[in-house]
Amino acid sequence: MGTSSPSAAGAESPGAEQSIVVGSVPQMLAGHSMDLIAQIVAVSRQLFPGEVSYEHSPDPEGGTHDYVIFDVIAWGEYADYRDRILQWHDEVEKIVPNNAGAFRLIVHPHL
Amino acid sequence: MTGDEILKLASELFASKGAKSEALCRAIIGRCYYAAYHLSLALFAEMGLPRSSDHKIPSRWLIESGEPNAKSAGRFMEDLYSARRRADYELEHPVAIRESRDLQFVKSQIELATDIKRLLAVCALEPARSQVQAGIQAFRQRTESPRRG
Repeated sequence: MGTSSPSAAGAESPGAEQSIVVGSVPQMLAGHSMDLIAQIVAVSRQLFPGEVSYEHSPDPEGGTHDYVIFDVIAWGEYADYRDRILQWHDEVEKIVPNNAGAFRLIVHPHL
Repeated sequence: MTGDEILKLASELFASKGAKSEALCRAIIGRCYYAAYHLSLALFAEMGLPRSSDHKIPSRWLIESGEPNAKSAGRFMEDLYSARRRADYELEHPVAIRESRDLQFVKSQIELATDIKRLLAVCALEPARSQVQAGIQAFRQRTESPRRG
C-alpha cells in the first residue's frame, strides 16, 4: 500500500507529493507504473484533498481481474462528491487512455 | 428475483434497528454490488445481449458504449466491485475493517448502487438505449474474436 498525505485538506505541505509503494502493481503496468501512479495520486489529491493511499488488488478468485485501488477521503454526503468521482475517472482516462479500468476509486466519506 | 430486490434488501438491512456488526456491513456492501450487477445483466438481456459470468464484462460494456449515462454507471460499478471484493475477501485488511465498521461508508455504497440503478433506468429508454446498444455492439465487434462456424 502507498500513502500520500497533505498536512490539511486543500493545504499542501512541502514534500507532500512524495509517495511510497509497498507491494506490487499489476503486470500490465510494469515499466512505467511509478510515473502513472504519481500522476494519479496528484489527480486524486486535487479532487479529494486529504490522505490518498493506493494498493494493488490481485484477483482472489484466480482470474485476471486485478487493478490498483486509490482510497481517498471526501467531506460531506455522497451527493456532494458524486460528480468528483466521475471527474477522477475522466482524468485517469486521460493519463491511461487504454487501460483506465486498471485503476479504481474508493471514497471514504466524512461528515 | 431482481437486482432491485437485492438493493432493497441492502437498504432494509442498513435501516434496521440495532447494532450493525462488521459482518452485516460487509454483507450489505456485497449486496450493493450484486444488485448493480444483476440490474446491468437485466438491461443487457432486455437489449438482446448475451450473459457473461465474467464480472469485468458488464461494467466494461457500459463504459465502452460511450453513452454518458452508461459510462458513468460502468465506472461506478467498477468502483463498487472493488469495495465488494475487499469486503468479501479481505477479512484482516485494516482498510476493509475500517470500511465495514463505518456506517457512513456503508451508506455511501448503497447510494452508489442506487445511482447505478437510476443511470441504468435512463439507459433503458430512448434516446440513450439505441446509443448504448450500438456502442456495445461496436465494442464487441472490435474486441471479440469471430465465431468459427
